Amino acid sequence: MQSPDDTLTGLPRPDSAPAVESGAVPLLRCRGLVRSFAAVRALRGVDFSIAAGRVRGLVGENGAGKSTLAKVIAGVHQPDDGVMELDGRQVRFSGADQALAERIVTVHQDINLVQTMTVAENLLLNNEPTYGLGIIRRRSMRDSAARLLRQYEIDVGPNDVVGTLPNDLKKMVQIIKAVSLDPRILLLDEPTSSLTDAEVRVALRLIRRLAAEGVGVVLISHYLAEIFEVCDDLTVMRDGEVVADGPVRATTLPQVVAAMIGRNVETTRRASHAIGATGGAPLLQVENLTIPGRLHTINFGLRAGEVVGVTGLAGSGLSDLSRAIFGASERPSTGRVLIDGRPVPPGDPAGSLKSGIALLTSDRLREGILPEFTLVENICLPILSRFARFGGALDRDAMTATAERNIKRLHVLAPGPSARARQLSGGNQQKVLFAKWLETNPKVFVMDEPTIGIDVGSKAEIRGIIDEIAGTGVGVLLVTTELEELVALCDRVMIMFRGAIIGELVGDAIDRQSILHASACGEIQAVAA
Amino acid sequence: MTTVSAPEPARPAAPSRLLANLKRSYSLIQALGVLAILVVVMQVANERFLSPVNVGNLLGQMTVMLIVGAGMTIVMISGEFDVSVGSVVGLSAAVAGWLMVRWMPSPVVGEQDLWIILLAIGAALLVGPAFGLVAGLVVTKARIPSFIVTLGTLMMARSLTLVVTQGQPIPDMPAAIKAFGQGRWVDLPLPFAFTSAANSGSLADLIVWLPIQNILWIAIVVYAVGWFVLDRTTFGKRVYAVGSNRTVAVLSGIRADHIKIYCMMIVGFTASLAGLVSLSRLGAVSPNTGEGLEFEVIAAVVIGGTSLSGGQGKILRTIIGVVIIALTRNFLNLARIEIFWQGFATGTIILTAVLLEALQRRISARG
Repeated sequence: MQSPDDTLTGLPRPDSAPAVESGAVPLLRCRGLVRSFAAVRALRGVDFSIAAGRVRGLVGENGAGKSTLAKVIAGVHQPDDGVMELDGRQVRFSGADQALAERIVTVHQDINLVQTMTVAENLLLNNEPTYGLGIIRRRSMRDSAARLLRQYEIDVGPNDVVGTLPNDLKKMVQIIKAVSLDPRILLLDEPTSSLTDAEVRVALRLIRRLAAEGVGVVLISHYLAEIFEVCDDLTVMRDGEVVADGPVRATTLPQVVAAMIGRNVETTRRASHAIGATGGAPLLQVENLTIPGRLHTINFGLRAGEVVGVTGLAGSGLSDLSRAIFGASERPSTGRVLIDGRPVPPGDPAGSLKSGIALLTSDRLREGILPEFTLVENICLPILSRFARFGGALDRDAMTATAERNIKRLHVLAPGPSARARQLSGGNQQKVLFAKWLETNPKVFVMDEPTIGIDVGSKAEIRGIIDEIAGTGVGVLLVTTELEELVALCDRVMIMFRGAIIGELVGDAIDRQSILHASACGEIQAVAA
Repeated sequence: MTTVSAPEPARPAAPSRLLANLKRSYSLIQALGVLAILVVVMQVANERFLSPVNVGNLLGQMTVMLIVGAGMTIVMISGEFDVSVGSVVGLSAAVAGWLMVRWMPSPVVGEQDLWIILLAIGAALLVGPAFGLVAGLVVTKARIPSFIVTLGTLMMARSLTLVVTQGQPIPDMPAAIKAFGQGRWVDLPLPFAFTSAANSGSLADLIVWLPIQNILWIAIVVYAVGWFVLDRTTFGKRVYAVGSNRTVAVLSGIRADHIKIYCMMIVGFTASLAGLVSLSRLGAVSPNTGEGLEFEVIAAVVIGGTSLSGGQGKILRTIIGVVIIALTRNFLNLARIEIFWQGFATGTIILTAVLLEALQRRISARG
């Protein structure tokens, strides 16, 4: 499973050289780790090692297996095959608590704190100093929390309630909580994605300091600049395998990007359907769309028949953007959204729908499909009033006819229109959702991760559907982290970084390398000669 | 193609500490405000309202609700409900009453051997924890909402109460029990007699001796222990953590299921204790003791500011909630409003309290 271009990285192959420099005894060594989830092989024989006092970066595209590997090491998942050795003795963790007992500590990507408790209570949760009989030494608890906060220069009081803190401070509290457990191995899963630049500096300094104290640190991050700044060693994963491994100074950023992507599959780009001259009035116009702390003055236009991609790293604000355009964001947004030059009522999904915007949400199971409803009911839900006859009774035949027409057109594999949605595969459910929104006759179709979690065949079909939709003059805003999809479908790709659009790639400038580089570094690469 | 660097997204300004504290105490201020209004209205309507005797009586009437409210606060902070408390109060009283009077009837009415009395008390105090254990196991192992599970145990306990009492009141409890439940052995000195102190000019006259019913001391002990456990022990922290965010608690090594089961047993224990209090206060057991109590208690806990979704609440504030509910009832009685309106008034208070809680959540979310 090794492709020739892997040598691009300039890193030694994992099997041809020891991962750790000779002399350093690895704290933890994993060999041949395999882990599958149902039919998906998330890890296919991974070798990995962590040395005391060194920081190892772990990078790879979404779905490469980084988080799974971290979870296996942390005891959350158990490997199907392979061995893990801690200090040379073989270990097998049946749960997170066993890894914790070996002082293997994880900082999870989500903020894992009790929002209603104070900083001190969170830092010492289930580890409180007591007089015995479970009676808490409150002063000693407050003092040790204050000492930790002072030691790591975090500007919060031990008695502040966590829920009232901004996200970046919560993240710092979470990191400190992990540090206070005195780890030998510290696994950090995307620790900086919710931090501001200044906080990132503090976090990176903290990571170096821990390594200097002898902790073995694993840093999972999409921000490659950080990896190069702070890591000693680097492991690149792709499709559940380690494709490159070695010291950071032996490689360069473009080489790492190339290793993450792998063999460059030639992707056929679709022909553009964009209608109207470039100077023509756009169909959708977004003006100064802002959600404090999440979205930073977003401005762009979208023409009829155009497919515009929006991409960025997790946490860069992709979902916030798609929801804000539809008027369904969690927090109120400011700024305007216009369709054909007319403003769309803000914060009103029903109004957005009426104005001609449709939103396909990324979480199909929780925000999209109604599993116990039939296909007819799922498809006709937003347009029920169209089928209302005399006295509010529904014209069931017309509904079924509508559903049948869509099932045929989008090639939905289903027993029939009255089948329940849960009987369908993920890809076919997604087609049903496409049918549902297409029936509302949208002018602008916003799609958030339209092919997430569906099989390869359905992905290709859905791409065909998206192309067809654009062909009918609908403006498509394709919000996705699938590079392949962006390259294949988009006329333009806008890159988001920490809540702002930092630039766009147009036409033939759209390739996987440029997108990945821009997303990870926050700037569009100068066009190479 | 131009190179643009990422601007820093605007970071929301940290709210001032004073404002944050005010928001945190919002429900307390609100509850105290309602209570103050009620007291003023009652005092204006009837000037004997704040007399020591009347206050003592009112507190005695509240005792059962107070004791169950303490347990309910704990179980609601852990993120669960117990709607079976009213029936468990009834069953505990029935078990104790049956053992004291019917099991081995003494020849003299109102007298009973001490060991039988103690056995009856001990057995009654096991009823609630047993029900709590069963409900807690079903809730945590089968993952069924506690509201539904305790709805089931509610009906079971009420039915058992009818079986034990045969649907008839059990009168003639032992004299010692009645003497305790109806007595006021200790007066509580309170420095509230401002008028008499002003008249005589002596500070000693500021003290007013409030005759406290014995049963109220039980409630006071329950709240003292409850406050200490919730606020000062690891168990208390775990209860809050489990109710606020179960995942975080479990990842921190807390056995969330055990904590929830303990909480269900604790609320059961307070219900049993309240059953005994009711028995000793009335000197008899009625088969419908405690009927409808559960919703008044939950209302009181919510009015006291405990979150319906768990993780937040203060046990001492439940006292305010209980007093508000009890005073409303007392007010309706004094104002000679038909008894049928009582449920309507209590319901209105509950709805208002829940709406105000939602409002408060929205205010703090904006912060």
